Amino acid sequence: MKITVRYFASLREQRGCAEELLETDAGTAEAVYQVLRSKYGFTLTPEQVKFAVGTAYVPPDDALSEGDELTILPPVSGG
Amino acid sequence: MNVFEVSKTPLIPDVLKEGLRTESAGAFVCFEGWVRNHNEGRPVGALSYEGFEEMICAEGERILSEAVERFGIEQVRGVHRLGDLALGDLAVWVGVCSGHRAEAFAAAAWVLEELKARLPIWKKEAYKDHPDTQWVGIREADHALNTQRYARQVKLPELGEDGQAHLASSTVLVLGAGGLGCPALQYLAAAGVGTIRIVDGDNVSLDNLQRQILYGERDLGMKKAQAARRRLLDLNPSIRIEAVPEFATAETLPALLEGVEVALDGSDNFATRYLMHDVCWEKEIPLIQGAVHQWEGQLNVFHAGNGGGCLRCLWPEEPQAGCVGGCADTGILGVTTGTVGVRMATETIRLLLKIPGGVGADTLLMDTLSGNEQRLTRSPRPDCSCQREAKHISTPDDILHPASGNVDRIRTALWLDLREPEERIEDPHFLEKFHHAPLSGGLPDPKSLPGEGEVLLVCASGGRAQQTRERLRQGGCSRDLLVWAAPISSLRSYI
Repeated sequence: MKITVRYFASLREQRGCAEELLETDAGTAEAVYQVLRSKYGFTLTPEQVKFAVGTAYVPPDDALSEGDELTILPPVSGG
Repeated sequence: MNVFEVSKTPLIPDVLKEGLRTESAGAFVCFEGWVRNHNEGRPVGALSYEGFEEMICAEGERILSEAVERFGIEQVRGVHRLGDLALGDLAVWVGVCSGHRAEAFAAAAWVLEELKARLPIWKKEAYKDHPDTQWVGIREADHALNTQRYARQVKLPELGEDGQAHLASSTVLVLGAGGLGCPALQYLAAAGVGTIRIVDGDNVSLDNLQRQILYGERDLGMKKAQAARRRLLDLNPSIRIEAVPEFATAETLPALLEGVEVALDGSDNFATRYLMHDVCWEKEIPLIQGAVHQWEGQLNVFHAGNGGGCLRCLWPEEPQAGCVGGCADTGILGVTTGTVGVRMATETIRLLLKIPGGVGADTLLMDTLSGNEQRLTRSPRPDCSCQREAKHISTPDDILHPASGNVDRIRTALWLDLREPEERIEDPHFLEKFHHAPLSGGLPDPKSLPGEGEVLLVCASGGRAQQTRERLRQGGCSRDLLVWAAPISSLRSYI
């Protein structure tokens, strides 16, 4: 399945890009992050990040579908 | 329309405010968040915000709609800056208008906390004392550092690296971040329990500090759950702390206990204790319950797995609020709550790591005055409902607390504060919701109060309210009397 992955803040810096297309067999947001983490050495653990599909948060074990836009969010600090 | 916007140019509060004005609104409350020159002890020179714009607007509008629903306000609007900001710049603006001021104040405070926790925005600070910049709130879980952090405890044969990894993947819930919760939280966080959920709707006050050791004077007035989170993440930034700054209710508790392996109860009233116990028992989550009275403390582990039966095997029905005194009435020293809280943390780690032994089916009694410790063996009561797998979550219907529902009844009753003048330290805005009849002036006369509806008797935590009701009833009082069996501060959410 093909999905788009978006990065922000420290993850964007560690990955070196803000967005990429990904061909993956990993079925959930957390599984995708595990794969990307071992590939790119992200320092945040899966417990420390949150996930969004489109513009809404999803649980880590949410099933992904073809064409989803998955955003991986480091701990936020607005306000 | 409750609109949330993102702006890359400076915000102009007067313009934002005009959009909210309506003819039926009698109150307008606004919050402005400015860039300040220091953070966590370091001098800040400037900062920049990065954000996921479409989601900020979508999530922001969800928060604003929830605020309208929750507080019954008329309109609310919010804007967050993105990009580079200088010291003193306006970073976030929230405005609320409503019929009356109480809900406007409450909604504005709530919206801000939600925005901070939920908006996909990241702040990077530049410092005056160092050329580095740093993402705020993003602390990396560094494997090498954690190896060093836990070096002393992984040497214990019962723990080891596997045990440490198990702790890191565990989730516990601590109900009540007070005298018992603080020391328990401190040791659980330090030991590296991966996810800790803290549920407490109370605020830090000066008379908490002699025993609630996670807090300092800078936390006064702050929500305990949030102040505890800040302190614990300073102690151990590699774990996850979920602050739930609300009192647990029968509606919220089941969801809060999702995924929890061990639950700790350090709450301060019977209603919450029985509720917590019943929900944990039903969900088969081991519950470690600590309690204190003056110099004495006790600890129970309620779990079908240890064969000791449940809380209702010991005490079938919830005792009346006030039948024993609370900390405010009878006195308490920090070492006593500390002793019990630390034992609660010890039992938690033992249960998480499945280390044999421990309190198990016993009631552990600790007397810090004499130095004695005693264990009594519990056993299931054959006619207890836990032995029939029956469930009961109930309390008398005129004893009210955050878990009892009855929102309309609480709101419509006339609130009578029985405390002494020197105890009334809350803000005037809150206090004006109450009629005041200090008990030192004798029993109140409910007939002299306006209206004919129900009267809700309130004191610091419910004890005096319960006693007063009994005395008024014995005296033949004809008016319907309710008791608030929880801290007075928990009435804030009903204003």
